[in-house]
Amino acid sequence: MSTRPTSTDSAAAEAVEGVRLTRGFVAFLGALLLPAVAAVVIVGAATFVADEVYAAESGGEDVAGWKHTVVGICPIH
Amino acid sequence: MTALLRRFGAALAFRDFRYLWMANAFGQAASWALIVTRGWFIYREAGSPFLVGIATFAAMGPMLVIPPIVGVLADRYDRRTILTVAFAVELAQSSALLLLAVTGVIEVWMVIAMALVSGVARATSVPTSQATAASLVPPDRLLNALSLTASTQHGSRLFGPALVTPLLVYSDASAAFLVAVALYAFALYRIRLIGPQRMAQPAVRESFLQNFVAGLAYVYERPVLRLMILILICHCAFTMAFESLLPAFSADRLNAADEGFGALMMGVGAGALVASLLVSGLQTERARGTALIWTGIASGLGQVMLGLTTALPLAVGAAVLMGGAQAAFMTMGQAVTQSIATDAYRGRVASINSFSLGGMMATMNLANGAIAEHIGTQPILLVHGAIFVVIVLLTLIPATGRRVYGRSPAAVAGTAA
Repeated sequence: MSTRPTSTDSAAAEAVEGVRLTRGFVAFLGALLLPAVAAVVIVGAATFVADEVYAAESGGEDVAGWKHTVVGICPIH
Repeated sequence: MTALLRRFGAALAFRDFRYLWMANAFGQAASWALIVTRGWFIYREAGSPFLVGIATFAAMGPMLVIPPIVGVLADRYDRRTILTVAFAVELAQSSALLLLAVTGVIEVWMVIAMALVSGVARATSVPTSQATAASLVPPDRLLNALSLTASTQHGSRLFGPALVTPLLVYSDASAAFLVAVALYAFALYRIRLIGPQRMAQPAVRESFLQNFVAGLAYVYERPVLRLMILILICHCAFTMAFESLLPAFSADRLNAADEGFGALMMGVGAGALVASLLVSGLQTERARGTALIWTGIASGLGQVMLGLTTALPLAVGAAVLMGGAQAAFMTMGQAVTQSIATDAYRGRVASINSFSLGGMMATMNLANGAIAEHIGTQPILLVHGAIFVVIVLLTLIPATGRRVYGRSPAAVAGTAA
């Protein structure tokens, strides 16, 4: 069975025998997985660069823009 | 009274579900009691909101990572055993905290480490519990069962902290940890009373990854299930990621910084508790579909109303409407997904719900907080609320959408378990 959508949701056809990576399926996976991955990446990245950003701010030095951004977005940093 | 109980508590007539419901109620209360106690202890010892945030993230973060693994396990092995292990771990970590506190050797890093252990156990028990509930009651009682479970989640946010707050004020953290131990012990005892859960289709011959991808493909191949999950993701993105906005909204629009935020959160919680109990009384698929449409619209409009208010009492009223509509919509949406899924896939469907919805809420909360610093909170509340109303109306147009909302004769066949 492919991952192409079927017209019914028959309970009898419940088994998934194989998976074909259609564009629709990949887009669907993205919608499911990317938000969780993004949240983990943002908090993880903010944890790694927070000290550098705060040290730069207190010392009046420059730091990469993306580092400022992730620390600004993350609520626990 | 008996008629009311029979209607609103119909699923409680099933013994195993009753045990599961009680275990969830006590386990969730213990979990919220621990969140409050950990925050109180860490702030008192270290005086650091950052460390409190780390502990909270350690407890909540596993909900983004663990469910995909748990979903596969819950479809392979006895779900009661998985729940037993999860609650036993919760009992062990809370007992360890109690022992450390009583002996006076407790330190902040230990509390954060135990928060992580607790988070992993909770990320295991929540989707497993949802999948188990669906197999303990007949399909026509599923919405009632999930509504009762949802009401314990909302009620525990009030009940758990209410149990330990006086202890923290008049005693210390060890008394609060003792309460959590007692609650988890009772929850574990109740889980052990549930009968063994026979697996409909254990797929142990396939690899773990194959099982996980098969669950994703299973959802993708079912148009009603797929659309329902996508609508729930949109709901989380546009109406449920508001928590990072409320402190600034209270201060800027309501001129009530601290008391405004607390009042709005209580309004959301009270609305959610009442609505999840009311939804438990819906008995037909068509009634559930109608309620799904109206609560979806109310969820978006409630947020728009909140964005337009400048007076605290009106804002609290909008928060009650918003919280009630959101909780009802999520509960009914999850009932739709679980009623479509067959038992062999329920663990994975519940886990897909957990990580996709939790991930979207976490990401949108992060993004909303950052965007609000530039454009303020009001535009976000107004635009996002309006977008979700439009999404609900648009999804009523295609035949698949009408089936999601129980508007098509094929809906019954499409959602049969």
